[in-house]
Amino acid sequence: MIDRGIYSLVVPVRRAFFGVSLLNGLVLNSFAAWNLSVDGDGRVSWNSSKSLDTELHSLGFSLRKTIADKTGDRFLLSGLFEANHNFKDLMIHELYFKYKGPMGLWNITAGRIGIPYGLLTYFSTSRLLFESSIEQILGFDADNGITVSGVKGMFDYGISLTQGYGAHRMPSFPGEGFGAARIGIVFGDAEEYMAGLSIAGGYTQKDHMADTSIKRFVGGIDATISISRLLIRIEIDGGLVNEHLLFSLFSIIDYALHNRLDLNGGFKFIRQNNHNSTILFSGLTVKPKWVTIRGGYTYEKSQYSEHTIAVQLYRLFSFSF
Amino acid sequence: MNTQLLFSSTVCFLFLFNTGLVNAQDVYLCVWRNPERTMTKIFPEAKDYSTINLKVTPQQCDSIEKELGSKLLAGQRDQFQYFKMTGNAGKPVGTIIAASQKGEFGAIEFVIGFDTSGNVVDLYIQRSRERDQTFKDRSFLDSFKGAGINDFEKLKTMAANTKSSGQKAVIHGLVKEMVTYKRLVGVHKE
Repeated sequence: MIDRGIYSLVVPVRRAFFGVSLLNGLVLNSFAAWNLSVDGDGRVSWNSSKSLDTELHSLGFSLRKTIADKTGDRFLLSGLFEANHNFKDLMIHELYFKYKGPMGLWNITAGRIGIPYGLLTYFSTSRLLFESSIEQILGFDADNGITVSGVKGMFDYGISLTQGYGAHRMPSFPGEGFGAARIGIVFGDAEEYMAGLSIAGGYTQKDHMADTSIKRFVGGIDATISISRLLIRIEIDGGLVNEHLLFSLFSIIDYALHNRLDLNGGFKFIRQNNHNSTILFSGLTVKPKWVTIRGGYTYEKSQYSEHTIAVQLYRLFSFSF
Repeated sequence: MNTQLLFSSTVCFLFLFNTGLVNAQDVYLCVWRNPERTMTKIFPEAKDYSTINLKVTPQQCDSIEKELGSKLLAGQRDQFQYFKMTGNAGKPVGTIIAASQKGEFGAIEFVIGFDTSGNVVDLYIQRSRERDQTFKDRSFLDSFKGAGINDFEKLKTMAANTKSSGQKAVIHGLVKEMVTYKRLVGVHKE
């Protein structure tokens, strides 16, 4: 399961739950369990330009069910609902239906889906203090549409066609039109090395709530390397966004100091609209039994220098019933 | 303080500091990215699979722990998951279990395949962050091939004779899955 949370309107959340209830009625006889995950992300941060801020960054609900036919697992129903920024931003981050093909060779996923691009394919930073550049590169991390994905030997792939609206808006037909694809390869007996090549293009909304669209054409390479206690993730992207060159380098490193203590580091460089921005991050993750505590310092150099110190309390519950 | 912030703070406090569900965060479950990739390495003849989730009652948990001589980890005390692998015409070819065991620097996640007679077909490490890497050696992992689901006493001796914390964790994890599978699947009516 990918590390992804749950997101802006009461009505769509209610509709989504109603949809799930209808499907539940159709699959009462299947033996696979429902899985409900609830996660909470509370943060206190001090920023050199905005001073002190305290917020319930996210409260997420994730619901999943695998439905089997007589030959095996065939359908997956998954929903991810989020309340962000002290409940000011309620949204359906993901809500999809997946048809599973033979032994992972191909799967078809339809609904509000995660985009198969770069590190995002398997790793989300939405619950971390140091976030990736995906908003600048694609404009969103989830969108309404369809994906074909699969795995064959050491290779995996994903191709999506979506509306280009992102996950913050209600879908309306037909949308702007956006495509993304990634091909990945895994090396190592314990799958220690992963690499991927991604491409995406089309039209997206200018920002989450804008009615104007912009053109994007981007590509990138990503790698995940696990060596002993060290985990390195890196992604390099480039392309044209709204007729301006974009270049992005993102890297995040975790090093296990102890069973319940990780050292974290991050580096991000973005050149967009002829402006450069460099962000450095260093932090610690402490994992007592009942909560994850993350603390970190972020230095950002763009037009001005900015310093941020943040502490996050994160908790995840997962239930099967 | 406005109402929204007060509400958020209350939810945040109750959620994050609810120690009544003390073990909910600390869960040892194998997070499996592309299960089919490893499944087809273990059972190349597999055409499909079904995910089976079983509830573990407190009595079953007690009997498993008694046989193991140690406690099950958080997330393993109330549920057990395995995958029933099938070949041509739905014929069973074996069982896959995704295991997770506490290592020196976090969870070691690995995947075990059993044939229909309950013998280990193969074992693959999925994720780990250990200093000691000897448990990843193919020669060590291959030593379990052919071990029967009732051979766990022999495996316990093997664990006692190794100094490698990673190897101990993999053996303990394997024994735990063997005992749990034997206890639960034998009594479960699908």
